[in-house]
Amino acid sequence: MTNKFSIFNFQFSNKSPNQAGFTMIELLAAVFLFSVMAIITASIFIRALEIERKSFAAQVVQENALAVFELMSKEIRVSDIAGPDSNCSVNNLSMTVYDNSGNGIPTTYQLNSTLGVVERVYGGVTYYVSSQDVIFTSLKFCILNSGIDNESVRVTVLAAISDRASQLSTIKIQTTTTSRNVADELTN
Amino acid sequence: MRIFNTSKERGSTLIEAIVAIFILSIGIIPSLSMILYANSFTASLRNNLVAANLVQEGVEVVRALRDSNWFNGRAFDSGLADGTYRLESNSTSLILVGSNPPLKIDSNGLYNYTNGTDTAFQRRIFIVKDSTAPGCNCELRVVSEVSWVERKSSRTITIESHLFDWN
Repeated sequence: MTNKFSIFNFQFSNKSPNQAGFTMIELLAAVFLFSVMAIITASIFIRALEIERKSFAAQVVQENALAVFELMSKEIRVSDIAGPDSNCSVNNLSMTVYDNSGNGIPTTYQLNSTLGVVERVYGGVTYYVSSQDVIFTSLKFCILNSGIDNESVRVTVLAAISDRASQLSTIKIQTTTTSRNVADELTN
Repeated sequence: MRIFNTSKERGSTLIEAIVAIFILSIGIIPSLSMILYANSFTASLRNNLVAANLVQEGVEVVRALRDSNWFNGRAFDSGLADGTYRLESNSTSLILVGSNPPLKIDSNGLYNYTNGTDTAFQRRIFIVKDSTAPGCNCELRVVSEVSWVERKSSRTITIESHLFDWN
């Protein structure tokens, strides 16, 4: 009992006026400054998260757009493009792609508008060309100079793409590819 | 209860707290600027992608014009004289650059010069008949350039292609 009491006395004596501590004003000022900094930091952090998500989305869109456009361009260059000419309003592109043995295989690029995915129908089998991480909201083709007319076929591909998760903004891409296949024109 | 420090009380002072906050903010400023930089990078990624495809279109259309000359028995560089031009995806001849208006985008998403709203992108095609090619005067140097303004700074993508006379 006396022992406990003496401990209490000892602790109490530690809180003598000599002990360092905060005054009320210092504490208030410190808390105020701390909260200001905390709010600023937190808002920066939230913004950073948002930007990180946006840039990841942009990256996914870029990867998909590059893959789809590259594959289409490659096949447009070396294939027979079926007509008729179109004024940028058709949603599919049909052509004959030649395989390693020289067999012509009917191939169509089209948009699956329910899924927002680009489809490549190759020899009757449908493949998805773009991933489900992005939505192709629009895919259109302008076909110029198809058929034998002393002009090489020109295909312009128009696509509008956004990422599926945040759908922050849609990017509209266009490119034109000229067919390198001169065999048909030379039959003229 | 005493509010003010006596000489015997030695807590952190207000000055110390301010110094601490100041040092903390020095640490935060670079991270803030890094985030802003990342933000501008995201925007440029999107514009880069659009511009890269438009710039490619420029070279492809000039190639189509060269092929057309060839199929129709004209000189390979007919209508492709040295100079600076514009073109659209369905152009059958080059357009003089003039004041180089920005490309417009119509409701189908087609970049052109006639219909729709202005975009940030401007495209120029430079054609130089390369007389340095050894042995023949049969090479066209085609440079396609797309430029746009992004966060008050001008950005450009350029690609170059060399077209030859097949005959």
